[in-house]
Amino acid sequence: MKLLHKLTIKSLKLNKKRTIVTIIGIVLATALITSIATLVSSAYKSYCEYVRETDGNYHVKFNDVPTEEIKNIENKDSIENLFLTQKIGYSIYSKDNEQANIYFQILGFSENAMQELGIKLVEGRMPESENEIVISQNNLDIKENANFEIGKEVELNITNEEEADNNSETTTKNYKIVGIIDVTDENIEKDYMEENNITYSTIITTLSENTETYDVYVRYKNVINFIEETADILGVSQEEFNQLQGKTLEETSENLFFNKSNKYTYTINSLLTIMESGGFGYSVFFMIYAIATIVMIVIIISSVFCIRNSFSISITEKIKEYGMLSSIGATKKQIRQMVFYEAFILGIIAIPIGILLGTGLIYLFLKIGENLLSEYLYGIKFIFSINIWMIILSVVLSIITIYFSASKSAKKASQISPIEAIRNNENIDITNKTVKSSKIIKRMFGVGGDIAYKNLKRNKKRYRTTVISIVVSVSIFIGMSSFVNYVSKIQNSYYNDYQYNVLIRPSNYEEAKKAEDIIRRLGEKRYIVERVAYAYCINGEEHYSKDLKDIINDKEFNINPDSSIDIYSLGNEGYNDFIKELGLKYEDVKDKAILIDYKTGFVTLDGNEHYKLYRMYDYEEGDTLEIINVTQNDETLNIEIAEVTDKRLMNIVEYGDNFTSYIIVSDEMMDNLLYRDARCAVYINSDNDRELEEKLKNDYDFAYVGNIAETEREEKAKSLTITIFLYSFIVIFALIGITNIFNTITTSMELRQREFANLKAIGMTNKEFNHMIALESLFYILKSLVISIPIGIILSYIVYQVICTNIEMNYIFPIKEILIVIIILCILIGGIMKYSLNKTNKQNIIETIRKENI
Amino acid sequence: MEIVKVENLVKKYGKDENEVIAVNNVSFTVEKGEFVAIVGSSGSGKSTLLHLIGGVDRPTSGKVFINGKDIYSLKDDELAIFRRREVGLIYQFYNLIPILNVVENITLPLELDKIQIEKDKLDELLKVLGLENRKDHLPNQLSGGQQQRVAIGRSLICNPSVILADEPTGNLDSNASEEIIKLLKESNKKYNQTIIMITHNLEIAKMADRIIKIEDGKIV
Repeated sequence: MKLLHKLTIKSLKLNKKRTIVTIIGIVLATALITSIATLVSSAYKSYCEYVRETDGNYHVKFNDVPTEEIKNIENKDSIENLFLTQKIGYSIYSKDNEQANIYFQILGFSENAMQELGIKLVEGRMPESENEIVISQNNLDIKENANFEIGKEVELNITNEEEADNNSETTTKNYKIVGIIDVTDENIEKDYMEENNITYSTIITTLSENTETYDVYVRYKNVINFIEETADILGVSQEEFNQLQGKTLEETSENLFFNKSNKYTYTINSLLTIMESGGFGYSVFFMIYAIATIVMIVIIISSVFCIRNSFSISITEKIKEYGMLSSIGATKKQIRQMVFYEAFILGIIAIPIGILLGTGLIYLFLKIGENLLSEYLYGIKFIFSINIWMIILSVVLSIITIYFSASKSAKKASQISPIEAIRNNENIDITNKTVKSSKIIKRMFGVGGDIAYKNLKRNKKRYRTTVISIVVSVSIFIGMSSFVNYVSKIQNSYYNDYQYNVLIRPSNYEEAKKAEDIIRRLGEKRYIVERVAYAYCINGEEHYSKDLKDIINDKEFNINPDSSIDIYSLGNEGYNDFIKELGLKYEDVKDKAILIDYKTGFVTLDGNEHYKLYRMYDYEEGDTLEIINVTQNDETLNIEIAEVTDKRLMNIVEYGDNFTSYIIVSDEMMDNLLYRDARCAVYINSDNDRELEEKLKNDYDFAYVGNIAETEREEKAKSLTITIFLYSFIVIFALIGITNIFNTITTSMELRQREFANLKAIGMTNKEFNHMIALESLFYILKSLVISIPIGIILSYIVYQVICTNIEMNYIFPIKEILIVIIILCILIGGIMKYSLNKTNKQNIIETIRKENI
Repeated sequence: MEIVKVENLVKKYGKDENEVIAVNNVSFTVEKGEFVAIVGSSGSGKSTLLHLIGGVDRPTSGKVFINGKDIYSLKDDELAIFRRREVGLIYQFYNLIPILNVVENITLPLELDKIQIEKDKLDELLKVLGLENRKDHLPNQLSGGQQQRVAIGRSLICNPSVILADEPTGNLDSNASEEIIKLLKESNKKYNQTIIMITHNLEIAKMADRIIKIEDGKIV
């Protein structure tokens, strides 16, 4: 046995080229599997970390826990970390003692709460005593409000009442501002809370000792026991807890549950809980896992093809050796073992290289990605993470790949009979088929085409390997591309696509008019001067659409729309642009309303829930709306509907999941509907949003100037990270496909060297020869495309069916992907053939012919 | 009439210390219709000489004239075309194109030249070769002797100036060998075909009109 091992190693050394090709095949397969595994675990880690930083590093928050009960929770074994916050009070702050314009919530944070909850220090330091505070800059423009700069002292009137007004009972307290923070956890402070010119903001100080209750944030050691532990703390059974919970964790985000039996109300940090328990419950990550699994299976299948090719070539080379061995008495088993030993040696060398390469590539990919995209990532960090289990999985999968690659060759080698080996007949299976259409081919493409075509028809096996590897790569590429397309489409649809970026909130209409002048002078053309009046539809419920009725009847949603309708005017310019887009004339519609009652949401259809765009009412063009104008002393109005549309100008009117509908009216009409000091806003779509924002803030005195694009970009960063990971799957796929095709074609060309040399010896010129190979490539491409494009289309349709069961979205025919594939394939195969040809054409004819081992 | 003329032909392999002179200043001529056997021990340079005559290799120096044409003054592609019209090659291991059947293999040189095959001529040739019943067979369905006959047919099909045979019987048993040599001899007589054949079997060499003996790259 030892001797046979030696022989194997010797022949590996002797056939250096073949050995290297095989090793490269295994290295690639391993590297690809490892890189996918590392990519998935890195994506997982990065996202967990991001959620921890923005939403806070805790699993459940228990509200208003009495001080004496905190110890009970803290002493539990299952608790990894626990921190406290406290509601100190609320304060209405008047900037110039005239109008109440800032509403503060004041929270006390324990030291670790300041670190672990979703707040970030922007400037200064965190408070160290009860008299020091940090202020959130989320909604409050610190620059605009010089009173809140670091180092200033503020006097606040604090009340315990949440719905505080100027008459509430208050105590006065002086605070020193020591820092500015950014609140990322929406459970602490919501983004862009601004109503009736009141800004909502948050102040954080240290915990004060003399309180009866605290809010307790808990992080469990093992998130798997989440339900058990939480139920235990709440003093309910797991069943009761599950009932409290409703269906899934994802649905219950932010929900507070009151029940007699549970001791406290609580909030679950649902995204973190889901993520840390593996992320399977989070649809996006579930999809990432699903793709990763598919990708790995495909890698294994295609790698088996690719590595098997190398093995079978090495068997062909060694046919004489095996025949000789079996003639002197080596058993079939021994010969089979020799092949497996060869595979073992190759694996030992190639797998570690593959793992290093795979992880290294992902490391570079993440580092480069982070650097390139840092501007768009808004604090999302790519964390490189190697999961030991993932690596073990990669190794096991690679071994399986090698095993499958070698096993057929081993069988083949063991079946070589001594006589066959010594005769060394052509060992290629060829079917003797009368090729019918060869005359047409010959006429069209000449004798080169004829030979190429016969090759295709008679030597199916040789072609099959190449065609299969192309088909696998191409069809999977088409399927995967549509998958990524759908996923990123859904991702993006989560976020409203705002078409404006700078927002001015003037305190009244006069100021809005002034703002309009200013921005026009600054050269901005796309803007809207918005005014809103609030109203209700009289008898609105009689006009509810079927979809809306279904939703109301569905108890799960528990919805009760109130027929509220907001009346918007857009300023003359904005209005004219809007009606132009709808193809309406000003004179026809100036006294009428344009109704927007489209909503997106889940609608039950044939017993299944569909996420779709639907209408709330059944009003049509020409109908008359009867409304009560709340803004104007509950005056009743009749307005004719000029048009019903789902178009939203600059998207200021959102589809949202509220149940308010909107009508757009002309400025002229709005003048009659409103007090002049109603809510106004100016939306601008500027090409230089940051510049414009700065200018408006510095040179003018508007109540509020904000940049929506900034927030938008931040939101999009989240979806961008996921999209990047998804697209890197595609890149990896393309790479697999390319290496696979490259390997298969070059090895098959190498196998045929002797045949080629022969043709040349008979007198085929290089030109004719190149022509023949070009045609052969063309046949390869055509045949594989004919098979793979329909498969790809079917795959993309399956993907569509799976992903879009609940979401109303049209099937997108993957024409773009198909075109890309055709172009890439032509370039690729052309390139590979050219490369192989250059090699073949350089070789000495006679040396090639006389070579026994090819 | 001189059909092949070899002039001061030299072929060296390797460089400096490793230099091997495979063919060392060889000159000879072959008349039309002659059947010449080149004999020599293995490594004597006989195969290299044959390939140089056939234009599948290029010499270090010296010239080869076939039918009065200096073949090494031709460019690669011109040489390839010249080869398929004027030279027929037969190898020890037949070297047929595995995906083409008997008829297709035989007519390949004509196909390359886009010449229409005369059916009568093909049928006659197949009869001479004894392959009438094997027309549609692929090389892997034929015995060694049959494969070699296909190779001979391929070399005869375009009436080349010269047929070069490199140990055509080296891989065959004695019966098949005898048949092949008989076939070559027959074509030599019937078509007045010039043949240069390499062999180390003296029995076979004796059947030729003339024997050229080579040792260490030189004619002795």
